[in-house]
Amino acid sequence: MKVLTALIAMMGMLAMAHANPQVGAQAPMFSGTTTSGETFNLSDQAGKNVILEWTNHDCPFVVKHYGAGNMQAMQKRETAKGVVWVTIISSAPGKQGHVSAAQADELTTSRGAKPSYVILDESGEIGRMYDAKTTPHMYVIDQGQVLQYAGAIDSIPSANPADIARADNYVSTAMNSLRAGQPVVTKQTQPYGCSVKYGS
Amino acid sequence: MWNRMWAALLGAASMGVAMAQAQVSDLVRTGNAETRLAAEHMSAAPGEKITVALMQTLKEGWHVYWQNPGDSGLPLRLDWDMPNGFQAGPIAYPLPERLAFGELVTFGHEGAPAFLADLTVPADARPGTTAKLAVDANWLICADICVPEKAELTLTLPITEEKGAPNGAYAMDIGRAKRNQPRQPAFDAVYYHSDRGPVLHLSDAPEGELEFFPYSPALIEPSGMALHAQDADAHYISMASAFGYETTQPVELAGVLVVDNGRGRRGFEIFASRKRTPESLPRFEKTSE
Repeated sequence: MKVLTALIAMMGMLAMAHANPQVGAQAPMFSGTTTSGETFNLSDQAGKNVILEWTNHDCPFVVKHYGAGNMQAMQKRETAKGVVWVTIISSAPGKQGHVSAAQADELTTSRGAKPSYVILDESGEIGRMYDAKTTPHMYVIDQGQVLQYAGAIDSIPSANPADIARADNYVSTAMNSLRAGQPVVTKQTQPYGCSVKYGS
Repeated sequence: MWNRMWAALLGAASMGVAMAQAQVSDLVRTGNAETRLAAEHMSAAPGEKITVALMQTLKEGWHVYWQNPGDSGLPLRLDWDMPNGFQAGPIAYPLPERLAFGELVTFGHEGAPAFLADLTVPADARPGTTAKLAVDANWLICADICVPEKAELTLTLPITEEKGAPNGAYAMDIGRAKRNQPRQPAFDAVYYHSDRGPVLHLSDAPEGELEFFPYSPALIEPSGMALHAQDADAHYISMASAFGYETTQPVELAGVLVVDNGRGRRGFEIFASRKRTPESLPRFEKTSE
């Protein structure tokens, strides 16, 4: 019986080694290098709401939201209200979506995007810390650095931009709740998109 | 006058040829797939339920997704445009394959999958007429990158007094796809809650390698390790939970159990009710692959 308990405990520990970040608990702290060469530390952002956006500019689901101007509009609206918007690219070298800092900045300009920072995570370390599975995959972190939302950008999984207007935007709704001092109702959803192109 | 008659006869003959093909749509070629819609029978009677199949041939190395796509991807979407009174049932998917890309895992289909749907002909359909059945099919097809694709497919189905004859080779393909659908199990399935996630308990499950594919995303982590154990009575599968399970353990765990006995794969539709966790569970090990 003791051996059995130990075995089950060991299996439990193995599972927890890969545990997703827990919504409602502190967001995993990370550092990354931005496209302008600065070091970004999530821990420095206490007191501000933070949105993390995983992206790959060639993924059809990212093209859906950027092509329709939806992501840019969200970035503008939220950063104007003091939210720190961090776009993260976890594509490994040689994989779809991998870009240099200069290319990433060019994409920001050409698409009229308004993130606060763009972080190149080509080792995938930050993506794996957040168990980022898709592009897009969205996370909302509150001023106390608690993870308040993780998952899909909105409620209609598709590559069709016509679906944006009639979908519930989970990120915007979570932000509105936080600003109103109300609990976030939809805390976690299944994300949709292309797989994050981690290295092998 | 004879020329006009010949022209009319030739015209009728070519229309006939077109109509003989009508129970199967044209083949639609997209970048990574060829797709066609086929009816299992040559005609249908009023009130009858008939099977149609969306038959695809995918480019080698590319895949489409099962109803629960797993970590990423999108399942097939069919939007039917049919005459008043026709009803389309849900899509019946082939047995899923587990597709691993690094640490992310999806559930899908490669090669030549056939997606089935039952269509019900209204009771007041008139024999001697033909029904135009059209579908807008949308799917995501991926290799290391993903491409959304679509096809508009139309077939015409004659309505007849009696049920129709099988539609040749297409009927054979559809019959085979039906036989490969998940079947109702002759064995019992329940599940227990454990800290790691749900543990499936299968009494007298068939011999072979067992893999469980949940219908609902977010209950079981697709990349999680499935651990197996056996005792005299049953086969156990311990699965890693995902965020949806951690919030609420379901009354019933539903999905498809695929059994590979080395000679082929068979699927069983499982609805495993939650039962009280027994005092001791057997020792779990990773299944050999």
